[in-house]
Formats: sequence, C-alpha cells, structure tokens
Amino acid sequence: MKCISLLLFCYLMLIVQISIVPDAIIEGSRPNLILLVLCFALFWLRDTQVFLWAILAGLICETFDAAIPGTGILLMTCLVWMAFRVQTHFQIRSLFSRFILMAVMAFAFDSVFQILNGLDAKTLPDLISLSRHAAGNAVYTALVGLVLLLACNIIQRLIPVDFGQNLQNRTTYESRFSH
Amino acid sequence: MKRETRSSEIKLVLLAILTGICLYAVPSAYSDRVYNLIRDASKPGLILVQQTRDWQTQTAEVSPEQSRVKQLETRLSELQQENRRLELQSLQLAEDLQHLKQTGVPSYQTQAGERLLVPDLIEAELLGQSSIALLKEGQLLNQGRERGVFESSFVLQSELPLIDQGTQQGVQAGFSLYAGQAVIGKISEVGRWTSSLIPITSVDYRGSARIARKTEQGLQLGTDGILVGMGEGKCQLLQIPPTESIQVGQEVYTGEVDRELPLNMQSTLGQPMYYGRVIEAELPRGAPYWKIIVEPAVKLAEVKQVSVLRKIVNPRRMLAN
Repeated sequence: MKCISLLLFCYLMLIVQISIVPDAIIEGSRPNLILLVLCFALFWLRDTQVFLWAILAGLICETFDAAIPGTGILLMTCLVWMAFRVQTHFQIRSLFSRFILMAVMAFAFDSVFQILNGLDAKTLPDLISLSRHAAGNAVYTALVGLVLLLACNIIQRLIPVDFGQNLQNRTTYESRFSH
Repeated sequence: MKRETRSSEIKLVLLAILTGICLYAVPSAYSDRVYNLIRDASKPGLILVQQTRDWQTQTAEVSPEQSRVKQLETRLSELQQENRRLELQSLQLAEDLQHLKQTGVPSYQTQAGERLLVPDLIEAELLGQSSIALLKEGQLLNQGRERGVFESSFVLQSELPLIDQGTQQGVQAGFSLYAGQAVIGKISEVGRWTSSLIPITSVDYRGSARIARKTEQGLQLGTDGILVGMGEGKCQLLQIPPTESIQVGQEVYTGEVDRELPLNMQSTLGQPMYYGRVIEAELPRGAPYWKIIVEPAVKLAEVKQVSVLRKIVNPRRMLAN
C-alpha cells in the first residue's frame, strides 16, 4: 500500500515538475520535487527500501535532465545513504529537522549534480553563482516539502484513518541505542 | 540496528551503485531504452495536463453573438489591411511618378535587372505553452549537459514568446518579425531550433518608425522617430519634432533606416511595414518632441504564424552566374 501510494505521489510530482514548475520559478529558483519524493520515502518507509527509490529518482533526474548516465543514481544513493544513517541515528521526526534535512539534501544534490555535468560539458560553472543558485533551489525545495508535510499532518488529523500510524511507524523503527 | 537490516542496506546500496555504473558503462543505445521507458510513462500525465489546459481555454470561449462580432472584426481588419496595401502602392507609384518628372523618361528602352539582395521571408510558428513544456522536458532541473539535442537553456528559460525557427534556418538576433504587413517584434535570442522574440509592446523593443498622413495627393510619410514598447500593450513614438502635424488615428509605419540595427541587417522589403495607429498625441508647451502613444495593429496573442525577414543573395543571380 505504501509502495503504491508513493509511486502515485512520485508520478504526480513528476508531472508537476515538468508541466507546472516551469511556470512557478521564483528568482531563477525551482523546487526539485523528485528529491522531495525521495525524502518522503525516507520519512515514511524508514527502511532499506528507500535505496530502490533512490535508483528510481536518479533515473528520473537523468532522463529529464540529460545528465551523464549513472550520475543521478550514484548521487541520489550516496545522499540517501547519509540521510538514512542520520535518520536512524537521530530519529528525525520534527518538522524543523525534516526541513533542514530536505534543504541540505537538495543543496548537496543540486550543486554536485551541476558540477558533475559541468565537468562533462568542460564548462565548470562559477562556484559562487552555482552555490547561490543551488541554495535558492534548496530553500524552495525544502519550503515546498514543509508545506506538503504540514498538509499531510493536517489531513492526518482531519481524517482519522490508519494512514497516520503508517506515517509514524513507531513499531518498526529502532534506535541503535535501544540495545 | 539489526544485522539483517544492515546487511540488506549494504546489498541495496551496492545494487544502486552497480546500476549507476552499468548505466554509465553500457552503450547509450541501451541506457536510452531505460530513459525512453520513463519518458513514455510520463506521457499520459502530460497529455492529461495539456487536455485540462485546453478544456479550460475552451470553456472561456465565446457565445454565438461574440463569435459573430469576432467574424465582423476579422473582416474589418482584412479590409483595413487591403486599404493600407493600396495606399502604400499608391505612395510607391506617386514616388515613381515624381522621380520620372524630375529625371524624365529615357528615350531608349531599358530592361529591368535583377536585384542582388532580395528579402526572404521564413514562415515561423509561435510556440504555445504545450510545445514549450515539451521542449522543457529536457530541462527538468536545468542542469543537463549540452549534448546538442536539447535546446539552449537561455532561450527556453526566457520569459519571451518563442518561435519554432533557429540558427538552423539562418535566423539571427535582430531580425524583424511580421504578421502579414504588420510588425510584431524582433528576434531576441536564437537557439538551435527556436528563437525568442521581443514584441513591439515590450519595454525592450526599439525600432525606427514614422507617421503617415493622408493628404489629397495620397499618403505622405513623415520624419523618422523611434518606437519603443511601453508594456501593457502600447508603444510610444519618440523624437517626432513639433513641426510634424500629428493627429489621433494616423497610422505608424517602419522608418526608412532602422538606427537600432547595423547596416547589414536593415530591411530589404523596399516598402514600409505597419506598426499601428496613434491613440494619443500631445505636444506639451515648450517640449522639443511630440508625446505619441501608439496602439499596435496586431496583438501577439492573436497570431499563430509569423514571418521572419532575412536578406539573401538573389538565387536567380546565382543561377545566372
């Protein structure tokens, strides 16, 4: 059920990213909704399935961004691995810490992806403008993610279904210090 | 963390890394198959979005009375265009006659020669939102590498309207764009297959223009001024001296020489093209120039096809050589 819901969410985000995001660019910054899907998978699944989502997200980024084949997957996997370790170590649950995690992931992905593709095109972009652009994209991505998380929380409170249980998933989560 | 979880984590990470390396290592023909699968999967969603947008525009469409009004307006516009064409033709004939009066008719028979440089108009289509979205598919995050198959990002990122002709068709920045005999703008940036255009109402637009007066002798063209866009669907005509007689309703045409363009890009059409009509004209006391507001003849939203004017060497002369 979780997997199908996430797939539908991923498809929706992909369509929005292609058709609506180009009209919603603010000061040259655009959100990376595919990365948001990955973050949501991380928060929701809380298990190693998230690496499969990293492969899918990487493939989507490579497909629609004409990147060097494989870089998207490798980058997404590395980032999500680190995020997964952070998540299991610190038990990230609050909106603020999730916002920070999304922003950091978006910033790291954006800047490294640009550098990698710049290396391939033999035109390395100016690092200051690159980091500024990546920071703008990261803040925009994290803000969209925060709005979605808040929307999820509100819906969860308004509709008393089992959906909320799945989102928190306390039963399957285990801290490394609980041994 | 449980040992099994840790083990599956490492296995999945290795699988992901291996997938990435495989995609990099395999020939692009194979990796493209995977990418095409994802592209094909996204098509239904994109079509749905497009259909929703089309449906929204259709519901905003008009009743039968409005469509009748639209038809009549189109007819009126056609007649006005025909009228303008005839006026320009009469102006050209009057100029020829004046010239002949001055120089006299040659007593020997002359043969008209072919011009070396001739105007060449390329038909271009204004790209709609759906087409631009399709092109932007290749620029999801705008970080892709240049592989030659994706359009230049600066053209696609531009807020300006796009046409479907680019460097491949010999389009250059600064070329004029016409809808029939009316000027609608000039080329701003040129990509491989598409180009962005500056509409005449844009604040970035500047072009040479002059006002035509209707006299008993026919149409008379005034002094050259500069037409600049004001935004909000209007233009302003600058540097028209107070000695000119200006009235609301007079027509504005392109100037003889466009001072905004280099000499090699001047129009070769040999006749003035239509900008629009004067809707406000004021000469403030002591001001060195008229303050003239012009309403463009054609709105960009009403146009689907445009012509890009370029200059080519006469093919007949080439053949003759």
